[in-house]
Amino acid sequence: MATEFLTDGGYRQVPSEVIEPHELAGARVFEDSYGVAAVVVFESWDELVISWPDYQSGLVELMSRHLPSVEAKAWEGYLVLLTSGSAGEAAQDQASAIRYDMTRVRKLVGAGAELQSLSGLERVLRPLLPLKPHALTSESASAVDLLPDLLGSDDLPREAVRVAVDAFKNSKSILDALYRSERSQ
Amino acid sequence: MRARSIELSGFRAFAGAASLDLDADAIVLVGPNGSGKTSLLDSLLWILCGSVPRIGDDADLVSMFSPTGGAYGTLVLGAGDSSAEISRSFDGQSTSLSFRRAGTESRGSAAFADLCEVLWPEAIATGDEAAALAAAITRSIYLQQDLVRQFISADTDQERFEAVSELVGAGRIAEFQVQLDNQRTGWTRATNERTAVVERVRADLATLEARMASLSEAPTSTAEIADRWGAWWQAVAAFGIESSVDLSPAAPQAAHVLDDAVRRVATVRRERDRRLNMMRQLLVDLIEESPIERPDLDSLRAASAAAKRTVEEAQVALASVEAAAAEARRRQVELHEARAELQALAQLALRHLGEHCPVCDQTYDSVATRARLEWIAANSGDEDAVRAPAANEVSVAAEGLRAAEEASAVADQQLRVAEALIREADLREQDLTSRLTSIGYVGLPDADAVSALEIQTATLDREISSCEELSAEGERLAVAIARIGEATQRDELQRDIASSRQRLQELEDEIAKREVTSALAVRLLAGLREASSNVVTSELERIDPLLQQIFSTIDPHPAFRAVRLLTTFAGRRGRVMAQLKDQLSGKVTDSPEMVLSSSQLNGLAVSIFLALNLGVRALPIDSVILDDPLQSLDDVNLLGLVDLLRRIREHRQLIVSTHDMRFGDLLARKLRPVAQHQRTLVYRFRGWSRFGPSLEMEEVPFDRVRLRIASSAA
Repeated sequence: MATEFLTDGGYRQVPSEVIEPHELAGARVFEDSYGVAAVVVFESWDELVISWPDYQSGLVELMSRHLPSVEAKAWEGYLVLLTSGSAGEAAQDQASAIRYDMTRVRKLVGAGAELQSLSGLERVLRPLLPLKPHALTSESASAVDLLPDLLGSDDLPREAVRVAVDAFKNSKSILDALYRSERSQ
Repeated sequence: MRARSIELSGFRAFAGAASLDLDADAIVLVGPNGSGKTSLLDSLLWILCGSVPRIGDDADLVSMFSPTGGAYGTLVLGAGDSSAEISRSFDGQSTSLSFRRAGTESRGSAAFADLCEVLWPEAIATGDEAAALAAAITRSIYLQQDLVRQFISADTDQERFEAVSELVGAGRIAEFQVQLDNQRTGWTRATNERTAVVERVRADLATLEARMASLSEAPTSTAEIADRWGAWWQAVAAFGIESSVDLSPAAPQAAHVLDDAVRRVATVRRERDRRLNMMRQLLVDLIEESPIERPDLDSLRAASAAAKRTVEEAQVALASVEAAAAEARRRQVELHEARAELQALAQLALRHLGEHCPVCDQTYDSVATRARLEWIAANSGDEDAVRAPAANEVSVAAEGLRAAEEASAVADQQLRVAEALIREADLREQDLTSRLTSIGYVGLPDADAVSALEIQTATLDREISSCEELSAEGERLAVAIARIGEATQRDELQRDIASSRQRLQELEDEIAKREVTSALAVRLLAGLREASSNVVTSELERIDPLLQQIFSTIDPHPAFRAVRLLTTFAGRRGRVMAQLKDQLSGKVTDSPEMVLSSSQLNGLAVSIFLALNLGVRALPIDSVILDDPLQSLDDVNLLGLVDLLRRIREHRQLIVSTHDMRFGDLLARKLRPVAQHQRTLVYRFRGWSRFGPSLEMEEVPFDRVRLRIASSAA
């Protein structure tokens, strides 16, 4: 699912032949104009805790092989560490420690119940993903434009509200517009 | 639209003149504290709104080192090929504003009105457009470093609600509600007026129906009336009345023409009546009155003359007798006087008689003389010696005269009577002749005249009868025509009644529909009473996913990773709270400050600000301005913010300031242009002097290599 999220978000998956076997075994690597993200899925939280430094090294090595040193910092690397295994209360600190380890690349961690839903996975990947356009307001948004959907009911047809709002916005008589609308029906 | 350029002088840190290119989708301002970054960003707010609320108005914003003592700024906003230029200046006393767009320029209040119209018409509904505009910009465009946490910390729940309400343009809904309410009142009044019209139309209809009922239903044969009409006019033509036979009896003026003709027939009849009466009277006069016998005027005149002569002769005889009697009386008087004188003398002589004559002294016979004298003195003489006519002679003469005069008077009287009779006879003859002439008969008032008159009276009798018949027929025709008129009226009334009924139906339909519209408006008004609050709720629910995306990108807290802006209502007062949730534990808090650190709260505040900027598009300014948003964010959150800003620049012009050189460099790298249409500018504030900031501008080069690893596979 992470692959879909990332590719939908504009990332391109790096072909496996580009990656050296010892660098990021089992990981999937994605790239966009601003950086590289390696997604690694672990069997358990413990494995994650133990193995993530190796993957970080592998990612840095991969980036070093392809990027001039002068650009290194411009190319942000993201190591996405995921496991469906339960982390438990004690692992909270470990996860925070991993996230807050700012050496080399940025780490994103998702574990346990958090990954049992798509929204949970999306939340982990969020720093890598573009903003969803449907959440952005439209160009002509105005509070009164919301009224048809807001007030529409069996007693108050949505179309009637729209007619009234249009008349108001165009500085026309609202009642006349409603009347004409009623007559035309 | 977004910022394209700005010119400044005398504004806060910018004492001298400065001109900055802002035509880029990412602008990074980097420099130490106090170097003028915030002044530059504040100037945008000042130019647009006339104040920087957290500092003050114009006088508080003028640089102490302004060479003119005033402040000036010009901001150019643009979108595509269109642009708007807003210039504001404060000369130490007064402010002036100009707004130039599409070749037209306005100034003063008109300029601000135009500015509001372009930027935020909803501000007009707030009553204080400048303050509302400044608040909207502060809430959603320009995040000022001193106010980063205002929304979640300083504001109360109600203030947050009101801020969001203003931002989403709920005031516009209130304005909509007021307009609708006012219009509904007017609509109801107009509907009531139409109801009054319906009553009038209904009353008119009743009147028409009553008139219809009053019209006779008797059928009328138009053909028969036409025949009678023609015959009547032909008949009246015989009396010299102008015929209108060509006029149809159904014509509108037929009744008037007929009425006029009937009156003229009546006039003819009166004239004939008058003539008939005159002739009949003449006939009576001719037939019934006996003619006057004319007396013998000549013999009467001769008798009269003879009588007059007799009178004259009697007068002469009388005069003669009377003259003789008068002479005799004169002579008697003379004798009497002479005797009286002798007696007096005798008496005188007797007294003086002596021996001798006293006169001649001669002797005389005194005795005889005395005797004689005494005799004389004693006797009066013999007056009867004069003879007078006898008294009866005068009487007889007088009686003769009186008788002659009476006879003369009788003769004169007889003559005058005769003359009067003749004059009367003449006059009567003249009268009859004149009357005959007046009726056209030339001749004497004799038997022929009587015959002629009898013929004429018979003719007049017939004409009068004819007039009477014509008058009666004329009246009958008038009634018939009136019925034709009634038939026409009936047709017209039927049309009027049908028209009125249709009008009534249309009005009743219109009123019914107007009442439906009014009821619809009432329901809409009822909905609008809660709509402002519901819009706030709706809008906040709509941007919840966006806020969640942004908050997740910054990801400031390891547990409370879900956020939403919760709306609640206490009565009709709305409240907005930022609610955090730990989705794993299910714990929820409406007081983020209780679970978040200061830097985490900053992360939340920036998230909410950006969500409002991207999700609630209050103003058509496609920019987001962040003044030093680090605010002690730790490195992880900082990187999250940078990731977020990289995504936001795809939707908004991004203007970010920072005092942190590393963060500035990081932003410059992370916001580098990777597409042809992108442009990134970095302004480095090297220092500040009394003339203003020392500025250097760098344009970040375009990164032409989009993929470095994935593209190497080939």
